[in-house]
Amino acid sequence: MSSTAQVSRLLALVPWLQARKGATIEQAADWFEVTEAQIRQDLEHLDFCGLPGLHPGDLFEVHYEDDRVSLTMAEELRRPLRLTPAESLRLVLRLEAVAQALGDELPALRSALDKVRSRAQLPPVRVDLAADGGWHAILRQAIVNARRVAIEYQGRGDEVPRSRLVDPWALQISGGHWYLAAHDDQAAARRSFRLDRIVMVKVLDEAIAVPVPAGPLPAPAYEPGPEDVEVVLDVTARGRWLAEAVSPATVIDQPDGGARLTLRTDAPGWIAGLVLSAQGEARVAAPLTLRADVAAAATQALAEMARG
Amino acid sequence: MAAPIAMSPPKVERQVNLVIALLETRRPLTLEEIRSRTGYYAQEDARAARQMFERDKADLRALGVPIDTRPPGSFATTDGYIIDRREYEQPDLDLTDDEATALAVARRVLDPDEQRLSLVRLAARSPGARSAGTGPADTVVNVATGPVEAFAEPLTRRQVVRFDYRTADGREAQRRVDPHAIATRNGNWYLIGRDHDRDDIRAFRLDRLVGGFEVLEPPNAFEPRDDLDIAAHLAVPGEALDEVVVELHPDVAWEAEARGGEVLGPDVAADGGHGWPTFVLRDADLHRTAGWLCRLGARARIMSPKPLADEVRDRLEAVLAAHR
Repeated sequence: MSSTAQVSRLLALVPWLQARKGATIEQAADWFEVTEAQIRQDLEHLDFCGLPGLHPGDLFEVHYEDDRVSLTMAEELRRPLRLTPAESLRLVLRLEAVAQALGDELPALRSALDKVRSRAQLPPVRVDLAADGGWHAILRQAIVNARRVAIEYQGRGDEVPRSRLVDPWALQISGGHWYLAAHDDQAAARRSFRLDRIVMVKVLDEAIAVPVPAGPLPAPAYEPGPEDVEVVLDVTARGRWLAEAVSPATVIDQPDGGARLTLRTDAPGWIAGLVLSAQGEARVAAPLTLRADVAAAATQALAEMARG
Repeated sequence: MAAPIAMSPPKVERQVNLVIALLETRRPLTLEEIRSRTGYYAQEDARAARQMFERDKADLRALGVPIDTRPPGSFATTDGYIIDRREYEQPDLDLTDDEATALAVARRVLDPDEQRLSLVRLAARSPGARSAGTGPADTVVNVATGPVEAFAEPLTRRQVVRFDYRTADGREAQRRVDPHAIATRNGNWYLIGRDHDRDDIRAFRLDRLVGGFEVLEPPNAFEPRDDLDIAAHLAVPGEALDEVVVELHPDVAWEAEARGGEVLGPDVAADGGHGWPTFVLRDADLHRTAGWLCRLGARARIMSPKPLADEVRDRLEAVLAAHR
C-alpha cells in the first residue's frame, strides 16, 4: 500500500471514528475495504498524530475495549477532506451510471446523488447507457444463483449468431455499454459479451463449472489476436467520424482534410459494414479482398433493389 | 507515551501532522516555523530538509489538501504555508441514513477502487449508514471519465472556455462556450453549453476538440442553467420516419427486434427460417436506419417508405463509386 493512500485513508478514518464511538475494528475494515491488521496499523499511527509539538495532551487518544475503538482529542480533523471538483465530477458521473444500473434497488441513491452534485456546485450531467437488449434482469439472476447459461450471440466477426455455453460471472458497464463477463465453455477462457448483441438467453438447471476468479475482473477490451488483419481506410473530411468509430492505430492527415487510417481487427466484416454505411466517404485501401467484398456487397444489394 | 517525537517518524504520521499544523495555525507558517513547531524537517542538510518538505507538500496537494502559499507577513521575503479550514472541510451533505447507505452500497460496484474512498468520505459523518458487506459484486460499473475531468474547474466556477473545434464535415473553427453540462452517449463525451458566436446552446464532442482548451477569467461569468434539456441537445437533428417496413433475412431478423421492430409475419421459428419475416419500425431516424440497412445490404428488402429506399440506393452507389 502506498503511503499517500494511507494518509488519504487516515484523514477519513478520523472523522469516521469520531462519528461512531465504539465501532469495531471489523466494521472499520469493512468500510475502508482493508484488512483488520491494516486498520490496527492505521490506529497505531493515529496514536502519534495531533497538535504540533506532540506532547501528551496534544495527541489523539485511541482507546480500545475488546475489539471496539474510540478516538478522542482529534477535533482538529473532525471533518473529512473536501472532494476536489474533479473528484466530484468523476464520482457524480459514475453514480449516474450506477443509479441507472441498480436504480430500482437503491431508490435513495438518486437523491443522494443530487445532494453530492449540488454541494459540489456541479451542473447536471447525463450518462446514457446503451440498450441492455432486455437481458439484464435474467442474466443477473443467473449470476446470483450461479447457473450456467446458453446464449446465442452475434459476435462482431461472425456472419450469423452462434450458440455458446457460458458460466456467467458479472455484468459490466464500460464505455457506455453493458457486457456479460463469463467463462466460455468452448473457448475455455474468459470472454465478454455485449448485451445488445445477445440474440437469446436460456438459463440452464445446472451449476456453473468455473467459479468467478478472485480479484477485480478486467474491463472488456479488444485483445489483438494472431489472426487479426491490418486494414487501411481512406476517409474524406466528411468521413472522419469513422476514425472515432474504429479507434485506428495511426491517422495520417491528408491535405484535403481527409485522412488515412490504419488499424488491426479480428472482425473485417464489421469494418466492411461501417464502410457500406459511410455514403462513399470511406474507401478500403487494403486488404484488396476486403475492398472486393465491399464492392460486391454494394453491387448485390443494388441489383436486388433494381429487381424488387 | 514519550514525547516529543523527533527522530524520523513514519512518513504517514509526518504528513498527517503537517496537515494538522497548517489547519491549526492562524497565520501562514514559514518552513522554519513548521520545523520548530513540529520537530520535522530538521536535517542538518538544509537542502535535504527543504526537499522532504516539498515532497510532502506535493503528496498532500495531490490528495486534494488545499495548502496555500502566502507570505507570512507584509514585509516577509520567504513563503509561508497555511490550510484554510473552510476549503479543507467537506461540507455536510445532510444525508438521510438511506441516502448514506445507498452511497455505501454504490461503492461496491465502482471500478476502479480508488473512487470508493470518496464515497466513504461523504458517508463518514452519517453513523446510521450501513455498509453492504464484502463479497463478489454481480455488477461492475466503470465510466472512463478521463476526457472530462479537466472541465470540472470551469464547470464549478462557471468560467468560459475557448477551444478549436472540428465539425463532423471536417471544418475547424474557434469557439467560446459557457459550459452548462456534461454528457456521455455511446462511449463519447459531450460538453453542452452556450456558443457565444451563435448565441445558442450546442453540444460539442470532446474528441473533436483540436488541441486542448483554455479557461477564461473571471469566475461566475454566466448563470447556471439547471433546467437544460440535455437529451434534446444531444439528439442529432434528423428526419423522422413514421413507419418503416422491411423484410429481413432470418439471420439478421434479431437486429430488427433489438431496434424495437414489430414482426408482421411470418414467424421466423415456425417456418424453419425459409421465409423472410416482415418488420415494422415506428419513429425511426432516416439517417440511422439508412446506415443500418446499407450494412445489411442484400439481406434486407425495403418495402416502404420510398425516401428511405432512395437514400439507401444513393449511399450504396456512392460506396460502389468509391471502390471502383
